[in-house]
Amino acid sequence: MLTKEDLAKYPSIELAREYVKQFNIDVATLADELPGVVNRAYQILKDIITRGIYTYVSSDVETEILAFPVVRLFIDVIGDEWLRRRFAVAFSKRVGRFLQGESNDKILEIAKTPGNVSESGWDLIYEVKRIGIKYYEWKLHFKDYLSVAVHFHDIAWKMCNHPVANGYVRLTKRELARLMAEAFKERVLERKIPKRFIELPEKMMSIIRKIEELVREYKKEVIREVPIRVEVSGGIYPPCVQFILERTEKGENLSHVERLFLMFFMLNIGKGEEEIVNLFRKMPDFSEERTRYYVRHARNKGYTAHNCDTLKTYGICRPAHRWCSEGKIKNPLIFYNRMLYARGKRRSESEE
Amino acid sequence: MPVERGVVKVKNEAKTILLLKSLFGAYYRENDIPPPPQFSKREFGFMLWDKEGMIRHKTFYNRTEFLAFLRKNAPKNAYRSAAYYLDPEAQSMEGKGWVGADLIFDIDADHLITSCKEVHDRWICIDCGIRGTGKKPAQCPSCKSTRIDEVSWICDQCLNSAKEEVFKLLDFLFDDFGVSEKEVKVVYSGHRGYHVHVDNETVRELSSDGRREIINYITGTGIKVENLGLIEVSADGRKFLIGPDLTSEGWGKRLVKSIIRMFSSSDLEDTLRSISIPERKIKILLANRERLVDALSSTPSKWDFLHGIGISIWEKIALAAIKRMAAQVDEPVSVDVHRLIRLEYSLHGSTGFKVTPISVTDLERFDPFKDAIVFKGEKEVIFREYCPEFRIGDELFGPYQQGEKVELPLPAVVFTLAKDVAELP
Repeated sequence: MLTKEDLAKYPSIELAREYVKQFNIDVATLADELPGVVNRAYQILKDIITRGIYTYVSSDVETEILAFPVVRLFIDVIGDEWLRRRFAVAFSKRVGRFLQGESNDKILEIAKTPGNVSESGWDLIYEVKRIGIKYYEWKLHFKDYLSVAVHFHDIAWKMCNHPVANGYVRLTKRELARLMAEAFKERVLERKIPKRFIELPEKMMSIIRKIEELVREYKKEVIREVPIRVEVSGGIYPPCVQFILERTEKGENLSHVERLFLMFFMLNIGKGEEEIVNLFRKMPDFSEERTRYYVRHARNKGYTAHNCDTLKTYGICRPAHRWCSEGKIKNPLIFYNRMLYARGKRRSESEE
Repeated sequence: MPVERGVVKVKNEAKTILLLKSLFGAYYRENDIPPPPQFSKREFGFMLWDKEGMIRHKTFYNRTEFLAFLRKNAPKNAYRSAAYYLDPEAQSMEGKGWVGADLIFDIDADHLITSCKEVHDRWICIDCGIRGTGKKPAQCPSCKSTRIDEVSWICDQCLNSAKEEVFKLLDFLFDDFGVSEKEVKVVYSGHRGYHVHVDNETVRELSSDGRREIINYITGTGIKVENLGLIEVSADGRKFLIGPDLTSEGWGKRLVKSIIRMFSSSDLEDTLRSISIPERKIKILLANRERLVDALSSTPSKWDFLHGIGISIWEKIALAAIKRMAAQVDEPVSVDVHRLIRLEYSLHGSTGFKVTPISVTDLERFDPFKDAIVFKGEKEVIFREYCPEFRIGDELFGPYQQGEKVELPLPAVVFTLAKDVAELP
């Protein structure tokens, strides 16, 4: 049985939604009637924007529950994709942390109830089995496993690297928490954004303007995109680019963002239209006309490859190299540039 | 002279097409072809004898309409979608309204390495006319042209190899994916392989990415043996190996089974050599093969009782064992959720064989050269090309030389005409 505290920890679940409904909240009067909730929503977003963290105040769980839909309303009105993803990632991380410490009964209730992690709920069973040195506690139906695990690019998440029998994939508690957290993120991102909003009162609009300003500032100061032009060279790509190139070579379907990132990166390092178009030829839905249009458009606009921070929110970052994991690289182009420099240095040393 | 020969060729081709179309038409008239499940939600596609390209985006709202189309057009090839749509007739994929799709696997003998291909497959250079046997080369050895035609053939060996792969695939579907026998349909494609259809609620809404992951599972793509539990651990200052056993699940169990099979098989020595195991280690492994089978068959299994056989050797053996256990399925067919596949009970335009559904229990006994044959009677043909040996029913035919005139049973006539190695006199 879930408690009010649980609803505060997982405010996107169906039960939390029903709980909020009882309050018959009217956005026109919300800022006057529940100023604490609106302020908390502002604080949540501020922390998400500036620190990438969805904070939790355990002393006032009701405000926590009620603030969640207000946060989402603000995000929808602002309509900034970066903010939407940053929110989803921060929320998912928080959910993952909570779930790891949750009892089995609560995990089952959250996962199986329709609308929480998927439309129909997950087919999940608690069953302990030790295989080798690993201790598995959960069995998840492969259709539910795949609905989320395909978003992870780590090889350990490939289904063939898990015990699978009779349609179920065995998972440790930690793995299940990670999967459920990702499902929470996907559910949050899946939500259809209303095309029109009712007119919000000035009090609410002024908070929205403050949040927009925070987003602008953060983007200007931290996600600064510096155009870097370097010579064309092979074999020295950052791991994220290398990984996408390998998948491209295999003809795997890249997501839209992965395609754009690869295109911008290649343009930035000086590759020509023909070479870039050829990279995409193995895509299952390749259209030469559309690809050429995108490449020309990106070139004319002078777009720069995404920063590492942004790539992280899209799940594209793969910090397989020491430089990346040490946080020394802010943009994959810097990696490429440094690699070029290091190679040049090594070559000149060996010539001496 | 070339003009006259050209005219004769065109006339003969027209005669051949006329005969094949009339035979296909008779088959469709004489048989009540059952439409696929939920046919009104499917897209159909057809290739006709006298038109280039494919007619797509067709649908049928009732059985009569479906049969009438087949009987009127006697298509050379007939297809239907694995997918269900709200509006299958819409011209664009977006407009069709995708609802879901059966999970389809394609096993094609063409993609399997079999020794028979070197004997029966042939190629001809379009530019210089030079011919050869086996897989076509990337460029002509004589004139270096890359314009090379290929005549691939089918025989018992290659179709049996394809069947072997079907059995491997079914094992994955039943044991690992929990699919029941009644949810699976095996279909002989009418030519080089088999299709396996899985039709249940669970798989219907799987995304392309999810389907690709299933293919990767079945083909063992991306397996890291340490994730299957085969690792080296340290305790009390010594290193030892632990690994999966027969009570493990998924690929862990398959790995143990496959290694046991490998060490019980007569070609063990060749296998170990082919994966570059040093000779000294091969000797140790061969001398202890029986003990090793026992050690891996026990629960828990014992992986490190052989001195000198460490994790790196086991990893090599494991990768070879995984390769043996994996089923070779064609990825694009399963991943493409809009794909058209051959219509069950239709005739294949390149052989005249029936696209034949087979129950899992009948699969072992199924003989494509007998059970997919539909025509009766006899007719004379002239061979335009060399024709390798082939079997129809219990009778072997050929090989036939170019220019040879032979009276053959109708299924053999249709096969050689459809394979384009013969023509009517």
